[in-house]
Amino acid sequence: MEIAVETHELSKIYKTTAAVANINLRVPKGAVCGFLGKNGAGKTTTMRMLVGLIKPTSGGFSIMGKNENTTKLVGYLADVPEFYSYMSAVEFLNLCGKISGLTGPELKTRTDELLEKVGLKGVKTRISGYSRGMRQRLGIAQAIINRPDVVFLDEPISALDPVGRRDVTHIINNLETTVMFSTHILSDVENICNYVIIMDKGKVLEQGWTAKIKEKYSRNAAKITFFNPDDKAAFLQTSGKFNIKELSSDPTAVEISSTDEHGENPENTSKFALASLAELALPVKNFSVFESTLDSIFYDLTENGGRDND
Amino acid sequence: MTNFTIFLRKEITEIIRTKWLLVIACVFGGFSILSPLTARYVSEILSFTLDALGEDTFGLALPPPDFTQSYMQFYGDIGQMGVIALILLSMNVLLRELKSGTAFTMFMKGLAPGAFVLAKFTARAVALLLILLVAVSMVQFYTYLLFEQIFPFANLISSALLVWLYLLFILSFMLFAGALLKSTAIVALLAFGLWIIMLIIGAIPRIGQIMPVALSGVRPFEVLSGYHSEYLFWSILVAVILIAVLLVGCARIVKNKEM
Ligand SMILES: Nc1ncnc2c1ncn2[C@@H]1O[C@H](COP(=O)(O)OP(=O)(O)OP(=O)(O)O)[C@@H](O)[C@H]1O
Ligand SMILES: [Mg+2]
Repeated sequence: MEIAVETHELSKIYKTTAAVANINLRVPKGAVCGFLGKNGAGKTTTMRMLVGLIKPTSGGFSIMGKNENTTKLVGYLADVPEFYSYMSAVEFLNLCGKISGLTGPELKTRTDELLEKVGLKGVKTRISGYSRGMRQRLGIAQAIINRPDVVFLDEPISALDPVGRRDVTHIINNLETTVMFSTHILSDVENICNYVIIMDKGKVLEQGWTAKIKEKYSRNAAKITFFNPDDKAAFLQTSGKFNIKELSSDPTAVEISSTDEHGENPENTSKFALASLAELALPVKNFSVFESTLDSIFYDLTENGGRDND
Repeated sequence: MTNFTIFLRKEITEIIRTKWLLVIACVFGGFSILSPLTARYVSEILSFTLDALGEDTFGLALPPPDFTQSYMQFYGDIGQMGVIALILLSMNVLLRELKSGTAFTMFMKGLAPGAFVLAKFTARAVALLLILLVAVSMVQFYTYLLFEQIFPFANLISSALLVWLYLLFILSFMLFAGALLKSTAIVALLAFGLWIIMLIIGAIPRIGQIMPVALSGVRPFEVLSGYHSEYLFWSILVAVILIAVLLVGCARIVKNKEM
């Protein structure tokens, strides 16, 4: 597996706060990596170091295996992207393209292609009149114009309305490079990321392929909600074949998981639970098999984890 | 160097579209008309006003208007109002880009900080030169119209070049301060502070004579009237060196800047 981004004990300390504290993260080449963390987790600071905007206090990083002159290998969309507002999108992209070394027909093709891709083709107005969504999209086009190996996008979708979010998500999905983007909207990550990094209070709590992480945090359990506590009690009397966890939050609900003899997996839990419910003819308000989502993993991790020295 | 040309073009677009050019042109153009008029009519207006007020003007001998005052008035106005306009219009030029991150976007694409600073300077320097040349031509024209007497055109151009050099010094200082400091207000404050300090230094006998501030006052008049001062060479040299140092310093700071 080729690694696109790797950090070694990377830290950034501002006077008293460690914005980023000794993180070691790695993003495989070709991954669409969701970079998750609550406000103040250190996402922006990490990205700014990786693109060369600020210098690490200690530690280091490599992009595509290189430790130096990495700025040319990356593209970057800042959390609040700014442009020359007196220009149009075409003019701005042309400027970026020319400075990156594109000329003549190549420049024109690339600009056209990008404007098409981000849905700004034919928009003649100056950037000063753009909506946030348009700015975000122009920012992405700018970030990839010189075909960087890795693209860092800082909260590209957080401030957008549902339509804008769908558009930008679609663009990110079709970037064809390694992408690392920060967000706190987990459903978007669920949809488009095959890799996640979860950060909190300056530390990396978890990182890996989305599927692997979900597997790691999956639990063999189902939750049954009855209409009343009596039904629940009736069920519990005959439930020797399950591990039971009563939920203090809801007296009519119970969390169960199948025991060894049936094989510990969600399918068995579901199968045997439904069978015994049918046998007892108990009405059930809700039956669900616990599925670990990034949401639940994120909450579990960030509630318990993080820095312990503050 | 190719990037310099590309970015220079962007800067030219910028000074046109953000009205930088227009405002400077209006200020300089305005004074090029106003100054000869003031020089010609100020004494008449003054005595007329005093008359109207019933004051006795008998003992007050106002000198007759003289064509040299037309030029003096213009350079005086440029040295004050022109410089103020330049400071106010330039305090944000660098800072805005550094703060918003547009500069960094350009650096990431391969623009060298040196080319960035130089392009900003060059575009405005050329604009100032053109505006100044047009303005002094207008001063010349109006002075002839009002006084029917003028200095040789060649002298006028040489003296305008000295004033230009002074404005470039102000401009390079503004860029330098913009790279060094974090807020527009402090940049402006520092510039006005420098200006006052320069006026004070300008009053010191020998040192004052070779400081850039002399290029906005004494030197242009000397050149205008065809007098060759021993200080001319030195004041030009000092200004050129200071401009170069400020620009190189500016590029250095920008290169190592963390925003
Ligand atoms: N320039 C700075 N000076 C001082 N402290 C800073 C600076 N930049 C960031 N910090 C601190 O570092 C921590 C991490 O900030 P950072 O902006 O990286 O978080 P984030 O994960 O991007 O948050 P958000 O989701 O709000 O964008 C915060 O506690 C912040 O206050
Ligand atoms: Mg952030």
